[in-house]
Amino acid sequence: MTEEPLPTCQADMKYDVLARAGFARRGNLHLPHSIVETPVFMPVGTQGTMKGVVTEQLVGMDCRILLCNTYHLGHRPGHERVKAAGGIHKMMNWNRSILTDSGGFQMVSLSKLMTVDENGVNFESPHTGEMMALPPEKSIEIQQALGADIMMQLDHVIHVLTTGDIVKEAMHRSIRWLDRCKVAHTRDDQAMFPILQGGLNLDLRKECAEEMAKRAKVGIAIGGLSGGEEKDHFWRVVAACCAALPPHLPRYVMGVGFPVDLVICSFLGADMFDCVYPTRTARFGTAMVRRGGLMQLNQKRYKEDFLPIDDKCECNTCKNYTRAYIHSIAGKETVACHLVSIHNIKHQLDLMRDVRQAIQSNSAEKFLRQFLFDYYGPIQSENPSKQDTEKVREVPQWVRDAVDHMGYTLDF
Amino acid sequence: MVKFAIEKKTILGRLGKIDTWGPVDVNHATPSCMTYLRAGHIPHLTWDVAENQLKLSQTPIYQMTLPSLVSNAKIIEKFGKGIAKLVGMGALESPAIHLTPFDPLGKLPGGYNDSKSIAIWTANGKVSLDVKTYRNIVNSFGCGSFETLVDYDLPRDAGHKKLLKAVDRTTTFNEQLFKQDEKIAGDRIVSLGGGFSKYHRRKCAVDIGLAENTAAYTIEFHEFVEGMKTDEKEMKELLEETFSPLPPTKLRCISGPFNPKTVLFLVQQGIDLFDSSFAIKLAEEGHAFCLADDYPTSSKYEVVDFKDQKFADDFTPVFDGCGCYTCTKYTKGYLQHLLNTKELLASILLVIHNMSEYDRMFKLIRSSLENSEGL
Repeated sequence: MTEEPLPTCQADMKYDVLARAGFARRGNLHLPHSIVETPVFMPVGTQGTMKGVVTEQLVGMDCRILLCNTYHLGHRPGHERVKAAGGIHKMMNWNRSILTDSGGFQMVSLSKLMTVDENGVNFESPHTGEMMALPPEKSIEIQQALGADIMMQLDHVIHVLTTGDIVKEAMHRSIRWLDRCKVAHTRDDQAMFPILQGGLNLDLRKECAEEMAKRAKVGIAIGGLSGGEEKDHFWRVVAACCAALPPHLPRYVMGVGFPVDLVICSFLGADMFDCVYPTRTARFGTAMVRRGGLMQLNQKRYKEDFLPIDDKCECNTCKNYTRAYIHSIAGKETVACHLVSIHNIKHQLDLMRDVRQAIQSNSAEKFLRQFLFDYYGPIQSENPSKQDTEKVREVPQWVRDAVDHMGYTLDF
Repeated sequence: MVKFAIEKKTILGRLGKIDTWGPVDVNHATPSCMTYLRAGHIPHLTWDVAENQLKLSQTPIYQMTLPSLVSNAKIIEKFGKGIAKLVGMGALESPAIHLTPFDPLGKLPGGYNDSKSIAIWTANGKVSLDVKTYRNIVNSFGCGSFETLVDYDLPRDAGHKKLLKAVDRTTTFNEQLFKQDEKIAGDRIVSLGGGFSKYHRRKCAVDIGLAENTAAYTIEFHEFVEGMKTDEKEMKELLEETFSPLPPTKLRCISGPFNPKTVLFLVQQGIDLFDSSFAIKLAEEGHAFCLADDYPTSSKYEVVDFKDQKFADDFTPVFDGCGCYTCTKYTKGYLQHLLNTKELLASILLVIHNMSEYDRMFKLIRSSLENSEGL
C-alpha cells in the first residue's frame, strides 16, 4: 500500500479512476482503513469472522476490505457490545476496511413474517420470535455502532421477479429512506452508500440512479439483483445502471460472486462485489478454479490425484497440499474447510487482480477470451481424457451478448 | 537417532535434553511434550497458522497419530514422498516426527485385538493392524521414529491368562516387526504394556525393553488418562515395575491427555516426554485452561468455559498476562461470541491458547527442576 495518509472524513474518501478499458474502470477507493483497488471482490465475514480464517491470512493475501452482516452482528453479540469492544475492526482484529450491509436484506431472507411500511421493515426475530421494527434510522444507528468504513442505506428490498406498481413504489420509498438515513448519519469517518432499486425495469433504474447519485457522497450500490432473475436481465440491469451513474462514484453490485459474473460486471463498469459463495462452498469441499470453474474435492476422482487444486495458484493451500489429501479429510477435519476457504478467497482476489491488470494494460479483450476459454473448459488433470481435450466451450448466450455489448468478440 | 541425555535428577523428576530426533537437530529440553497431530495437523490449525501464530518455546517433535490416516495408507505409499509432504508439512523446515499407531484422543474399546493384529479405530470403524501392514506404513510414512505395536486391551479386571496372552502378543509383534531380513526405517520407540498388573508390567519390560536398537520407551497408559478413575499409588507402582529392569538413561514417553496435576505427578515418576492432546481435548470441548500463578509449587489450574454469558460484555484479554496470539489479539467477549455462534475461529483460538499454556507449563516444570536440589 502507498504511504499516502488515509482519510478520516467523507470529504477525503475519494475515488480515483486510474485507467479505463471500454466501460471498465481501474480505480482506487480511499477509505479510513485502507486504499481499496477496484474492481474488488469483498469476502464476507458474516458474524465478525471469516469462517475458519485468521485475519493475518487475509492480510497475507492482500485482502483490503471485507463485509460483515449488520443483521447477524445486531443479534449476536449485539451492536452495543461491538461498540463497547471498540468497534468491529478492533473486535475482530482486522485493521483494514469493512463494509456493513443495512440488515434489511437478511430480514427478507431469514424472517418468515416480514412486512414493510413507510416507517421501515417489520420482522419477526428468528431468535426471540417477537415482532421488531427496523426503520432506516435504526439501521444507521446500528451500523454507526459497528463502525465500518462503509455503511449501506436501508432500502426497500423486493423480490427481483416482482412486477407491477410495487417495484416503482419500492424504488421511491428507497429514495425517501435514503434521505432519512442521511439525516441519521452523523459519523463523518464512515461513508454511506445509497442502493439503487427498480427491479428489472431499466427506466426505473435510470430514474433511481439519477436521484440517488445526487445524494451519494463516496459510492453507490446496485441492489435487488442476484435473486434468481434471468442472467440476461441481470447483466442488462448492471450495464444500464453503470451507464446511468456518474464516474466519480464506485459502483457496488451487491451479492455477486461467481467468477464469470465478476468478470462480466467489471467489464460493464462495476467496481465492487461481495458474496458468501467462496467460503460457503468451501465448507462443502468445493474449490473454485480458473480452469473448469468448480472442483468438488469430495468426489472419488480426486482420491489419488496428487496435483494441487490449481498448480498456477500461489495460495498456501496450493503450494503445500494435494487434491488427494484434501479429499481424504473433507468432512472429517475442520482444516479441510480452512484450506479450501483460503484457496477460494485467494482465487477471487487473484481473479480481480488480473481483471485490474487487464484494464490497466488495455488487454481486456484478450483477458476476457482467455478467462472464458478456461472457465468453460475442463478441469486441469495429469492425464486429460479425450473428452477433456476435445471439450467444446459452451459459453452461455447471456455472456456472449454481454461481450458483444462491450464491443468485444470471442473466437470460440 | 533419538539422542537423549539426562542432565539432572531431582526428587521432583529428571531434566534432560533431546539433541536429535531421527535425522533432525531438535535440542529439545525435557520434561516436555510432543505436538499432537490428527490427520497430520494440529487439529483446527492449517500449517501456516500453526507456523505463524502458534509460538512454542522449543523445536517441536510432532506426534503423527495413525488412525486418521490409516484408511489412506495405500495412497500415501503411492504418493511416495512421505507423510509429512502429503499432510502439508512441506513448508516446515525438516520437522521431527514420531509415528504412533494410536490416537490419544480416540477410542480404544476392548475385545478386538487378536494374535495377529491390534485394532485401531477410524471415523469409519475398526482397522486391524498387523505387523506387515504396519511395517509398510512405517516405511512409506518415513517418520524419524515410530512406536512398536502393543496389545493395549487390558482392563482392570483382566485375568492372569489374558494378561499373559497380551504380553506374549506384544513380544511377538516386536519379534516380527524387527525380523532380520525385513527393513524398517526410523528410530524404534518400544511400547511397554502390562495393564494394571505389576508382574506383567515388569515382564513386558524385561521381554521386549532390553532389545538392541531401542531408542526410547513409551508406556502404554491409556487407562490412566484424563477422565479415568486413577490412583496415584497404583500408577507409581506400575511405573516402577516397568522402569526398574530397564536402563535408566533412555528417554521415557507417555501418550494421552494428562492434566497439569497428573503431569507433575508423572514427571516425578521419571517421565520425560508427554503429548499435547490434553490441550486439544479441552479446546474441542470449548474450554480454555490457565495454570495457577504459583504452578508448579501448587498443581492447580483453572478450566474456563468462555461460552458463559458472563463473558459477553468483557472486552479484556482472554487471559491477562498470557502472551499467545489468542490472548494478545482477542477478548473474552469476542471469544464468547465466537463460541455462542459456533464459529470455526473459536476452535482455532482455543487450540492456540491451550497449546501455548501447555507448552508454558513444561517450561515452568523445567525451571522448577533446575532450581531443586539434585539427587
